Amino acid sequence: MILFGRKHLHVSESDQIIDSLFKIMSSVSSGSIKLEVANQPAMKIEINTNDDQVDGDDNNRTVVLLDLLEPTFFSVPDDQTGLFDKLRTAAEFAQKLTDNGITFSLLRKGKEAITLGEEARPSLSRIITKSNDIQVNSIKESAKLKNDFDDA
Amino acid sequence: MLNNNTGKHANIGKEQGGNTRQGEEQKAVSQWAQIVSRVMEKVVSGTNMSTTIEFDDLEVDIPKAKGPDGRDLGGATWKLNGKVVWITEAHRDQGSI
Repeated sequence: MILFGRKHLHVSESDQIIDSLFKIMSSVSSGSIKLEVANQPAMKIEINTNDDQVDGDDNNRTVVLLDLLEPTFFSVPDDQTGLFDKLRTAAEFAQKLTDNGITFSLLRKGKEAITLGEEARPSLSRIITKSNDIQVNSIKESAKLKNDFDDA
Repeated sequence: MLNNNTGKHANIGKEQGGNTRQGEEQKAVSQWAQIVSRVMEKVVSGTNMSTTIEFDDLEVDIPKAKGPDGRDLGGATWKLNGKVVWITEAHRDQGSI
């Protein structure tokens, strides 16, 4: 059964943009970045790194919280990919996050929507996403986010 | 029955498959770039708009590096605090009405 479309954006191993993003996320150990547009908060990023000692080896776990305070600002109105295409892209991205010990939490206006990567603990959402690296924290907030991105 | 999928034909198939995959990857990268550029465009090119990026105790680990003469430059931790503000303004051309 084919659940996913063919238009989804691939996260390939040699993707330069994604690789650069991972390098940046890995090199930041803590802190936050806020983005304001026209004096309105648009986005907040918080980064924390925990040093876990496992069998004498350092295991860095990075947690990135991306809070879209004004999600419609990041909308792509002429985006032709559907929900399953986006999930497929998210699954590839989440797999890469887990491989790099990174957890990425997406929030909408302060409320958790989706967690991707290392610390994602999916339950029912695994049936839809077919991924162990995507946890849908709130279906309601995730649906709102999708609508925000689709709106012009 | 002849099996055309051997020898030279098989190689051609592989090459074509490789080219197709490479093409798909290039297309995907360009799509990513398009999405990034669209968001950046909104941030950078809005007219009569101010955009602020505020860094709060952002710690960046700079990895060890070697200088041009092979000298060890060592690593560092940068701590960023502060704001970057840019304001875009629309100006009318002299020739325009």
